[in-house]
Amino acid sequence: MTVYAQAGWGKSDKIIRGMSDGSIDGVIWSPKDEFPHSMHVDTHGYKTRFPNSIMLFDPQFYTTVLAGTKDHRLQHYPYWRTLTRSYFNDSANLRTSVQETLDYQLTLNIDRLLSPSIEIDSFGSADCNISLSLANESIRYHQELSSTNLALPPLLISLIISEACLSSPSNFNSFLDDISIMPSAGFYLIVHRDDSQYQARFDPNALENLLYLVYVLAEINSYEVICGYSDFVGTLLCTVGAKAIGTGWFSNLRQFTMGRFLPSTPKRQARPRYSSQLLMNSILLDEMDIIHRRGQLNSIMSGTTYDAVFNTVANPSNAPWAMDESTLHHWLVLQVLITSVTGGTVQNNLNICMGMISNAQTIYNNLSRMMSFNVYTGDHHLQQWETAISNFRNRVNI
Amino acid sequence: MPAPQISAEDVARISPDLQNVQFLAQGGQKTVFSCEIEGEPHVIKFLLVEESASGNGQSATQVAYGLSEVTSRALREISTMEQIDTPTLVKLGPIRLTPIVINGQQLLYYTEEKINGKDLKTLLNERGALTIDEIKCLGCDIATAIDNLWQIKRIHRDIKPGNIMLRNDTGRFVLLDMGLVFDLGDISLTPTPYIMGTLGYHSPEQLIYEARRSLDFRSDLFSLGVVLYESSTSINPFTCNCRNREEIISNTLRLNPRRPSLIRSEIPDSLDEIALRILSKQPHLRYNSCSELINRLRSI
Repeated sequence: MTVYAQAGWGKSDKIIRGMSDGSIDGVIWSPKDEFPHSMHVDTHGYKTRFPNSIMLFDPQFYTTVLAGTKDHRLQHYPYWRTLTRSYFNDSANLRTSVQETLDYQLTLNIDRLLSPSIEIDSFGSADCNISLSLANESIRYHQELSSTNLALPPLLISLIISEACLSSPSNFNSFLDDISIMPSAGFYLIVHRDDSQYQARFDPNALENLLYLVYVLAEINSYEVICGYSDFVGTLLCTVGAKAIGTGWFSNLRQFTMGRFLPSTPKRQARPRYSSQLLMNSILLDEMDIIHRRGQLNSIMSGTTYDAVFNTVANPSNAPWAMDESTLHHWLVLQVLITSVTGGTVQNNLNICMGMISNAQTIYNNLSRMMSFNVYTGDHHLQQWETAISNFRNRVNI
Repeated sequence: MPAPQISAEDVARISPDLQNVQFLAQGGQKTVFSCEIEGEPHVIKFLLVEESASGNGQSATQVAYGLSEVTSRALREISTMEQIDTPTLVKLGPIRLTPIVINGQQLLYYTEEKINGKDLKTLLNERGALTIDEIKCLGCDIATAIDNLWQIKRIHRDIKPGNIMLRNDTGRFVLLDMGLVFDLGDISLTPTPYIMGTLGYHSPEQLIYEARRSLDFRSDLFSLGVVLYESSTSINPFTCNCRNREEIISNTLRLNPRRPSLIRSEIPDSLDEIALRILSKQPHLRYNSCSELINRLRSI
C-alpha cells in the first residue's frame, strides 16, 4: 500500500484502471471536485469493487478560512462553511466543526477518518494552536464515538504545513513533542508548497525537516503517516517511514498549493510529460525526442507496460500518450520507486535511495552533454534531495 | 522546612494501634518510622506544617485551604497513592493524612506500606551492576509505575536509585516517594527558580524553564533511562567525572552517552538501543507509550 490517487476533477476511469493494474492502492477523495451525492456513490462503489483498497476523504476543512475561496462543490457539504479564525476562539464552535466533519465522513465508505485542520504557517502560532485544538477535539470525539461504534475507522490527524514554516522552523521540537503523544492512529500530512508551478525541487532545509517530521511520527512513534500531494519527493518520505503517498493526474494534484482553491484564470493545457523512474522526475516529450535522436532513450525509460507505445513511433512526441496513460504510467513508476526504497531499515532504505539519486545524476550528466532540460525537468532536485538526506542522516545519526 | 524532631516513643504514644515503632530515617522534610498496625508492617511519616505565606503562584488547593507548599505536596502525594493501585508504586497505609501536635510542633502524619527489601542505590553500591534479567525487570516495573501515574496525568519527577526498592518477597521493583509528583491539572507548587528532582537524573526538559509546564511522562522515561544505564554499567552517564553542578546540567542537556555495551560487553545491542533511545534529548525521540517500552524490554 504505497500510492494513493489524489483525486480531483476529471477522474474518468483512471482510478478504476489504476486499481485494476495495481499502480494505486487507494484514493484520497476531494470534496472540492465532487458533489456529495457523487461522493457517496463513489466511495461506496469503489470500495465494493476494490475491497482491499484504502479510501480516505480529505475534508479540505483548511479552505473554510481561506479568503476568497472558490468553494465550488465544497459549499454543498454539511460541515463546510466560510469561517474566520475568531470562530475557533469558542470551544463550542471548535467542537461543532469537529463533530460535523467526522460525522459526515461516517456516511461514506472509507477506511480512515481525517480530522479537520487549518494551515500551520509557523509552529507555535495562533493557527498552529487552532490546528492542535482541532486535533485534540477530534481525538476526544473519536474516542467518544468508539464506545458505541465498534466498526469506527481509525482517526488520522490532518496537518497542513507551509513549506516556509518547514524551512526555518522555530518551536519545531516543541510541536513534535505535542503531536508525538497524540492518541490517534496516525497523521495525514500536506505540505503547502511555495511555488504554484509543479516541480520536484524542494528547499533542502524544508525537506530535511519534513523527513525528520515523518521519521519521528512513523518510524520512532509508530504512527501511520500518509503524505498527500507528494509525487516524486514522496519516494524519500517513504524511505523514512511514510506508509503511503497521494498523487494525482494534474500538477495541482501532485503538489499542494492553496491556489487550487482560489479563482483562477484559464491556463493553457499542460505539455505532455513522461515520468522516468531512472531520472526520478518527469520530462517533456519534446525532450524525449532529443534523447531519442541521440540514441539514449533506453537510459531514461521506466520499463512499465505503458512504455510500449513509444516503440511504435519515430519520435516519442508522436506517441498516443494521453493524460490517462501518462497518469497510470506515473503511478506505476512511483509504485516501483517506492517499493525499491522501502521494506528495510531506514538506514538501508536511505542507502538505496541515495544510490538511485546518484544514478539519476549520472544519467542527467550524460544527457546534459547533448541537450539542456528546462528548469522543471532538469536535475536541480537531485542535489537538493541529496543535501536534505545527508543532513537528515547526520541529525538522527543513521 | 526542616524535618520534625520526634522520637519513636513520641510516635508510639499517638495510638495503641501503633506497635513496634522504630526510627527509620530523617531526610528532606520528613521523619520516618517503621511500625506495625494490626500485625501488618507499615511506615509512618511525619512532616511539619507551616503557615501558608499567601501569595502568588499558589495552586488552587493551596489558595482554597490556605495550605503551605509542604502540606500541599503531602496532599498531592497521598491523593496520588489513593488513585493508583499497582505493585510497582508504594501504597498508602490505613492512616490517611492526620494533623497532630507533638513537642509543640504542628505536624501531619500518614502511613504507607512497608516494603521489605533494599533500595536500588544500596543494591548497586553493594553488588555493582544488575544482571540483564534484573535490568529488564527494573525497566518494566518502573515503566509500569510511570504509566499508572500518567493515566492520572501525573509525573513523578524524581526517579533515581534511592527512590526505587527491590521487594524481597517478589523480586519486583517498586517506585517510592511521590513527594515531588507534578500534577498537570493543577498550578505548580514549585517556586519559579527551583528545579525539582535530583541532579544527574533530571530530563533535559526539567532543566529548561520554558519546557517545565509542558512536561509529560517521557520526562520520567528519561530519568528511568539514567537509572537503567547506571544499573547496567554502574556509571551515571551525566555525573561521571563531573566537578560541579554546571557540568552535570551541561551533560544532561548536551552529552550523548556512550553505548552501555562499550562499558560492559555483555549488554545486548537491543538493551543499548532502548537505553539510548529513552536518553534522547528530545521527548519525541523517546517512546510515546510506556507499553511500547515494556514490550521492547521484554523482547530482549
